Amino acid sequence: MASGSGAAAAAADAEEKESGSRMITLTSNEGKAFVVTEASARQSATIRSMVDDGGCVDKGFPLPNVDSKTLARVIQYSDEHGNKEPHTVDERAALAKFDRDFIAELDADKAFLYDVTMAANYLHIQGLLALTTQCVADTIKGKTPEEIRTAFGIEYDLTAQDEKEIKEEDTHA
Amino acid sequence: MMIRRRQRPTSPAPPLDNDDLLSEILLRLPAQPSSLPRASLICTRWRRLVSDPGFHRRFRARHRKPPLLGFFSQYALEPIFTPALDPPDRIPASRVCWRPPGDWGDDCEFLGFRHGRAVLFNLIHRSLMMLWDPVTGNRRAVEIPAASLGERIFHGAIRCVDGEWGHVHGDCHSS
Repeated sequence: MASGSGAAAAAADAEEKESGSRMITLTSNEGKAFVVTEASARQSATIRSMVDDGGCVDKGFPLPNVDSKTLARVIQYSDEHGNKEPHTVDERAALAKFDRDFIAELDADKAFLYDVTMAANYLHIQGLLALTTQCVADTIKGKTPEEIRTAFGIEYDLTAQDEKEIKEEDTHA
Repeated sequence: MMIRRRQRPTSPAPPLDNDDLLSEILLRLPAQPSSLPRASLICTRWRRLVSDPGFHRRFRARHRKPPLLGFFSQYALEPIFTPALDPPDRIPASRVCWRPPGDWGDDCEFLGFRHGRAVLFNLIHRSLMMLWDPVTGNRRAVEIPAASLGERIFHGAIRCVDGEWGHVHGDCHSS
């Protein structure tokens, strides 16, 4: 971390920026600081644009919408995808296995899955968002409308006329 | 150490409260015939998102290869539809009828089916072909150039000329 001043520090900063080896601090809404590599942080398009726009990298980034538990899990994903670049078939298979295990664990705790989905959306982490939204879609898949409403706590507000129209549209589709 | 601040299961799942996020989720439903009608039946908000033409475009773009709904076989002159999917995605044969009531009463010979459209040959007005899209129900009569009319027509096919990269035939019928 380049924290000094003067030409030497600026040069060191530029060098670190070049190599992507800077460390970035992300702070959860509970005030807990997480220090991650820039490569990991750049998995988030939100943070990436702040860094590229010359944001205050040294001060770190407060994330008022993300709690510590969720942030730790998001960082686990970003580290795996940001710090390693898979080159071989085996490395790619290992990353795919990481994703499968990662999402299987979240799938077992829906409330946490939703928290991570919200954080992935807020931080614009495309890969994580694809993984979590697919998992939620898989929960919807194969369920009847009643089962979906129950599973997600959705209030039924269609009129009998709406239902009739939808069923007619479906028949003529 | 961690305090869970949400009470469930009475409150709706938070990602589903956000229109953009809900669209992202619904886009990832499988391209089965029952997926979007079922989503429409959840509530007015889901119905609105699923009915949006932009959503439809994205859904089609995402699911480039549509599912095989069934196949046609011909007994005598009539093409018979055999559904390939199980309920609730099953399309009953009664919904896939090329002969609308009171219209196109002429006998037609089923010549072929490709790229989502059937080609039928009008046996009465022998210079006419009919192109039929069973998904949309659209029918279109096409005059056969006299020069290409022979003694008998054995086969006919429609060919999609969409050369766009990534285009998958079978989803051409909307163009």
